Amino acid sequence: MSNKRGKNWFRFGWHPNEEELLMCLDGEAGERQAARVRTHLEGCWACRHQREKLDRAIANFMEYCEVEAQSAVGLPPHATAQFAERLRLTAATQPKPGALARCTTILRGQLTERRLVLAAMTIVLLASLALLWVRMERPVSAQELLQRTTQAETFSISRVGEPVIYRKLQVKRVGGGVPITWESWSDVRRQQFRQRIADEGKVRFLGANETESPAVIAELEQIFRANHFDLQCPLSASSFAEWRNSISTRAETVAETKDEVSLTTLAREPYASHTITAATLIVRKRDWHAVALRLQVQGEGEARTYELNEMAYEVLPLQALTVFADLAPTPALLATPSAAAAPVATAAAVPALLPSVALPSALALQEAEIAALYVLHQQQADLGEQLEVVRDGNRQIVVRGLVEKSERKLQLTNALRGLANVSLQLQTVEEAVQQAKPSAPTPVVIDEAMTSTVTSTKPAATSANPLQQKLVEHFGGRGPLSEAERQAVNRKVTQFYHAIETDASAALAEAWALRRLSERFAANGDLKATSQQRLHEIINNHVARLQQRARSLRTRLEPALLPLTGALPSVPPATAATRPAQVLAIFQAVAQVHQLSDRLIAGTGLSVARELLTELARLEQALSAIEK
Amino acid sequence: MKFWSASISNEMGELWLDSRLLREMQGTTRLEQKVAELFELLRDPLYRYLCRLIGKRPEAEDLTQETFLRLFDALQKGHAMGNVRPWLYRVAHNLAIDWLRQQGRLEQIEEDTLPFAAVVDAAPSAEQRLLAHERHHRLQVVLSGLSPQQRHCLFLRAEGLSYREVGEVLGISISSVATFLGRAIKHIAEEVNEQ
Repeated sequence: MSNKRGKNWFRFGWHPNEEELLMCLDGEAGERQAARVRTHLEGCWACRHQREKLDRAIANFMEYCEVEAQSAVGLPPHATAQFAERLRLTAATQPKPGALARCTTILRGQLTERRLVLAAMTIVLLASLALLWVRMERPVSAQELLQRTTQAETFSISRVGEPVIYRKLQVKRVGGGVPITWESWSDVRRQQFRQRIADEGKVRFLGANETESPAVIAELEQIFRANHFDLQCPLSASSFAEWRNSISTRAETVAETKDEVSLTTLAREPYASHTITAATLIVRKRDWHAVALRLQVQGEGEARTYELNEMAYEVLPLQALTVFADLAPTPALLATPSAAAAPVATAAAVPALLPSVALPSALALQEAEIAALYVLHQQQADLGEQLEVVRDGNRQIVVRGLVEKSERKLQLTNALRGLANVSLQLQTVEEAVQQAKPSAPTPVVIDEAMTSTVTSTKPAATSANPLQQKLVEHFGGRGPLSEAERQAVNRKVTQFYHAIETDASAALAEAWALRRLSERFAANGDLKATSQQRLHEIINNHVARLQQRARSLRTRLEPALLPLTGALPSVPPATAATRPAQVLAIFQAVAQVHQLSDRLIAGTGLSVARELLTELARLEQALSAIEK
Repeated sequence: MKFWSASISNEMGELWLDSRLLREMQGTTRLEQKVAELFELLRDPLYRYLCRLIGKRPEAEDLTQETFLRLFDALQKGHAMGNVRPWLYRVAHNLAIDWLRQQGRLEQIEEDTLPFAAVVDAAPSAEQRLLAHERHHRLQVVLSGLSPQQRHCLFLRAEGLSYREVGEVLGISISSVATFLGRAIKHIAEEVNEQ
């Protein structure tokens, strides 16, 4: 902005220059500037004259432009079509913009520069906060604490082959006498368990045939049993988690010190007698190892507090220990913690803290097992179907396994329903497949070798084995055969093989069932009469069916094989005296018959025929012996 | 309704493609059609501007089409675009400068007189024709004496571009545009009006 235009000596004060006048004429000046120039022009002839000069200059220039435009008015008419063609070609050769490009455009369209800056700043701020949050040490949650501790326990066990967990605890009831030292050895694989107590200067092992448990141990065992704590590993996160999952939690706190993290869980009221009302698990932060457990227990009209503090912990290989050497191998009874500790809990000196858990007696379980086996036997489900009858600790009998179809499952479920202390875990094949779907399916690979092996074991009527010729002669005579006769003979030979295989396989299934029964119920003197009768009936049925199969085999084999083998050596009578030995002899004979039948069908030689007939005679002798 | 009719947002003839219209254009398969419509709207002013810059009509015609093809390419790639008109003039300007540089004529054109020969329209009388011819010739001389930036500003302003749009085309500030224009108009006024 200038104050004067030089040569106009009589003009004083402020005057707009050409640039300012032009901006005002073009509407490009600001509101304030435009108002000032307008006001000035109203009172300044000289500037109005200057404005007119500018206007005239613009008019001259535009006149010039118009003249120029007449010589180049615009593009020729053909340019439109020409451009349309070029545009079409360009569009055809260019790839369509991707989704990212479109999104970017939309974002660009919606975000002004200022908004973009704000958005960028926000992103940077959020990223910084996220980084801080990640780096910040957050208090561990209850779930996380239990999870980490369980993982650490699992890891320490997995590093040792045949691991045995050794733990030394100092146990005390607050206000209830001197602390005692409680050592335990828990064989993870074999589920063997031993415990040793040191109190009043004496060290002794606890067990069914040993001294009584101290009162505090007996109390704790009862409390653990009633509150879903693992008796063998009370100071473990998994045991704590099991209890925590079994209760309705009232409150939970996680406290953290420099070296330890503690989880305190309060159970919701009302409290039944002798239940744990609050428990605190203290975990060492360094290795996430549980080092102490504090329990508050609702007693009879009083609250008791127990403290278990770890003094030593180690996972040792079984080979390095002799602590289990004098233990009788009774894995079935040691299958669960409750079973292992059951004898200890009978300490007479300890006042009963809670009523005993209503578990069925061993005899009741045995009878339930026989009842289940009897039903399965009646349903012919004990002859090779993928079913088993097992014990779920000391609690119940479980019939579990796979059946082919839902109809069969329904049939067995109906038959087994209502049996006391028996539960069912039956699945159809389809259900099992559905259940297994989430995991990676194992592909079934059938290689040529396998296929060829299977094929070779199949009896082929036309295959040339030594027995084959004899069987053809047996069924068709020695004379020449027509094609139709030869085919008929071949069919008979095939049927012969098939019948042999069917009888031998069925006999083996019966023998297995008989052997399982014999081994499971070697001594059954304590059973009820009904159960004994059922057991007897099952065994007799198996023996009878075995005799039937043996006769069927003899009837088929002797006419065909005796002409080849000649007279057979006499078989001595069975000498087994006891029932288990007799059953074992039957099983061995059946297994031998089955194996020899396979070899016979596979055409391994005529000598097999002699062995097979001999073994069949031995089987019949064994069956006669048990029948007597 | 043609899409740009909604996008002309002010009385200055600015042709705005707001984000909604841009999305609409990119969301449709008729982008070619839209660009063709824009071509019809702005082809002649651009062609005139290019003619003034390079002085060769066939080349100006080709560069005009090339300018709109560049527009299609940019829109299809999702480039953000506000006011289309200065964008087109800028592309056209740059294409012209590149072409002149390739031809080795850039300095010559910028230093030389304007490429168009004056064609004076037939006037009612011989005296008027003579005056008009003289004025045209004088203006041509005066314009040749201006700096290239002053000339570019004048011609772009004559096409109706605002100071801001002129600045966008030439890559200079609004105050620079005002200065160039003020000096150019003053020069014309002194050299032509006085005659």
